[in-house]
Amino acid sequence: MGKYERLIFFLLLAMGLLPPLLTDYWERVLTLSLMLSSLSLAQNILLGYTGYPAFGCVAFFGIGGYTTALLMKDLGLPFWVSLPIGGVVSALFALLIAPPLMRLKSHYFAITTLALQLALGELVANLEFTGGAQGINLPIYVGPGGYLIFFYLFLLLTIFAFLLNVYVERSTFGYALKAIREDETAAETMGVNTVLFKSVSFSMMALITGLSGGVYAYWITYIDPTSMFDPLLSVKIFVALLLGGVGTVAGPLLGAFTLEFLSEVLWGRFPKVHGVVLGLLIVLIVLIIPRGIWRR
Amino acid sequence: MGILPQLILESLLLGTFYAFMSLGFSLMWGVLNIINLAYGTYIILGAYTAYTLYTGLGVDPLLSIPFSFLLGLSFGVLLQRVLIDRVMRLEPFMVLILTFGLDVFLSNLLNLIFRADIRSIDVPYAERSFVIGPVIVTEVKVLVFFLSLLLTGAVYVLLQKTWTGRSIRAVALDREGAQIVGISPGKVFAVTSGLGTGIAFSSGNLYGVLQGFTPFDGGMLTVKAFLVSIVGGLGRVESALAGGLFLGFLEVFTAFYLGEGWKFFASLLVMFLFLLIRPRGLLGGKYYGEV
Amino acid sequence: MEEMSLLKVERVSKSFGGNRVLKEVSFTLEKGEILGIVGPNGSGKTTLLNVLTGIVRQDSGSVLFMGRRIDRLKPHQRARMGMGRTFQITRLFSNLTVLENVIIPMHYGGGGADERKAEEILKMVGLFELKDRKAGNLSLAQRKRLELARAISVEPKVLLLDEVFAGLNPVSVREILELLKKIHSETGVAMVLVEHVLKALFQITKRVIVLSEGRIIYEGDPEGMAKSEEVVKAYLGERYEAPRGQRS
Repeated sequence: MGKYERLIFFLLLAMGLLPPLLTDYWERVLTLSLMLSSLSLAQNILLGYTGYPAFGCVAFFGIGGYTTALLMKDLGLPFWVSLPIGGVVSALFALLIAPPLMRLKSHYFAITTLALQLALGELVANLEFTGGAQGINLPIYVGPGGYLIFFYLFLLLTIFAFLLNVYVERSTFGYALKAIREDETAAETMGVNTVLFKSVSFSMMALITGLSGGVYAYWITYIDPTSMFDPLLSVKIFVALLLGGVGTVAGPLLGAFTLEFLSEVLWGRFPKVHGVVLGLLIVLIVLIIPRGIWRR
Repeated sequence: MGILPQLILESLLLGTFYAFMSLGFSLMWGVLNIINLAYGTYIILGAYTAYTLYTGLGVDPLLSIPFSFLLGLSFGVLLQRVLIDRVMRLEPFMVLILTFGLDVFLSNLLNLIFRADIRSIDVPYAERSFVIGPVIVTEVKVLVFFLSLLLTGAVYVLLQKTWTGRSIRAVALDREGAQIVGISPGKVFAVTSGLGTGIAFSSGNLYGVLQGFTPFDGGMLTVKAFLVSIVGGLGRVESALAGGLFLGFLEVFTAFYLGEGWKFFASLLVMFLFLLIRPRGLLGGKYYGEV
Repeated sequence: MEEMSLLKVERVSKSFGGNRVLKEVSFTLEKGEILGIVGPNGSGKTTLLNVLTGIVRQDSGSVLFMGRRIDRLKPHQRARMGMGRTFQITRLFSNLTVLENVIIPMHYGGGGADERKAEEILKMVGLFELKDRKAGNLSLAQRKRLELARAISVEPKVLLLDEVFAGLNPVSVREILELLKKIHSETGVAMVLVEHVLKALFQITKRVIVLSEGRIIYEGDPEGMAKSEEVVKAYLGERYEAPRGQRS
């Protein structure tokens, strides 16, 4: 780790000391910010380092969330067992579809992942064992730490995602991803097994995103297809990345916190026009971000 | 067997409407290489325009089609010049995010003005229907079918027979080549965006007559327009017709045999598989993802 | 046992959407040999290289590399077997440094990443001083050198060079030519040069193949090429035709 990466790492650790100072409101805002951070860091591995924009990455949020919830509800497994399984199922599904999916590039790839996300949402809404459109109720968490546990879970996940980003930034594994981002044909001509590395990168994104979905499901205790496969969450991840700077380890964190705080302030100030302002904000960010930033 | 003629007729009528509705999306995608996620909300904007004119001034929604078209045309040109031109120079997927933001903005604005209740344009002839042999069909559906066919034909003539249309097609086929022969892509982009948005708005009039709508129905309509475009191939009227009919049949038959709830899933699944297996569409055509 | 050729191309054909770009192309390349492939624009030269490196798969025919059929191998597998390649329009990793551009193929296509060895290669091609610069900021001549460095960093048995001289001024052409001779004498690597700049090509190769409309119309020494009626016709014909875009 470089000097400034270590600084961010310690800042993240220090965030763990904050909760005693926080009101319920700020605890919620920070928890949401950390969730968006973990999702943006996950997408950063794929978009920032590998060059593939998975616009529908929330598909894996839903898979992770629903798998976790169903394991708890139907099989009675404890959360601590269900959550990792949810993450792994999400990652394996990604690994399975990556080879055909990642033959597509740019906005074709982006829109295909979005179609997957919406299709899975519709599927879940139509099946019975997933609770259909009514969704699933989960028991409320009672245990050590109370609801603060979710703050810490998202913090842990963010730290994990951050370390993965640092690894990609600095390792030879990361070189393969960057080579694919820069020029895929050249990369494979230079000996990089592009299908393998693309798929692994995609699965890493899906793993973190799936885990994030699992924690979220237990946090809000009630999940339905609309909340778990929400396209608005997808776009928030991308806007956070654009805002902070794609392809850097600090950018996703910066963007996620800024966007979540901005969003909270707007929500508080103008509850009625929140959607209108959010839409405007997205448009403005895309317009104002100078052309190079999405690739450093 | 008895129900089959009815289903086929419904598919044909609905499919022709979908073809016209999606023409604008297909054109913009084919000519500008942008996937406009706000397209469905443009249609809804058209529906609310027709609704407002009908409830406020008593103008029949089918008669206000030219007004919707002109409104959409101006709106489309304006958006292209002010927003999309700037972002098109970046990665194509940036336009996805931009138009998604636009969609969030527009649909919430509609929600602010009209609230989220389902609105419908209850024209006096809404309940009338014909019985032809084994099938029953409402007058509204037949009217929408003929109007869609007429308007699709008009777009076809515009693209084939006018200089504006020829330059649009030239840019779709070969952007650089068109530049060499003196066509300004910037102008063609603005015209295409205007035309496409005009088509969306005017198809909104028809949509509003066919069924009820809310400010947030745009996303679903974007998916439909997308499916029509990807199945047929981009930027051609014939392709949109093929794609529209495909979607019409898919929806009517899925809804009847599997249930209304599976309709949207079926569309999304087909869209996903098409992108995965045949991004050029059934009838061939352009695929920008390789460039 | 019969001495096997390094590279053996047997009756390779390829069409793009009904357009036959390669028609039953056959030739061999021996160890350490330098072969030139020339031909008018659109004659299928780049497609041939793409077939050899596995970026494009041929419709029929086979390619043997060191006696082994490689038709089903992916580009990265062929790279690891010892194929190094440069591109007509350079395909560098623009946002990465010059050094990283060499380290990546060493690690994934060659014997392993070794910064010292990478630096030696950069010294050899004259880019050592620029090793920390972003590849996207190099001049055309420097980019071509870096492509060469990348190609030799995998310790290839054959170097496939797609128009290394194209677009360069005479001084740069001479420098690249000297560099190629140096690489050849030091490593003994075989080379296939797809080339437009015949003058430079003839200074390094003794054997050329002429492609025209996807067919081999001449194979032999450079002197004989100018005398071949078919070659003259292919080239003169080109002069009167409107320029066609080259497939890449």
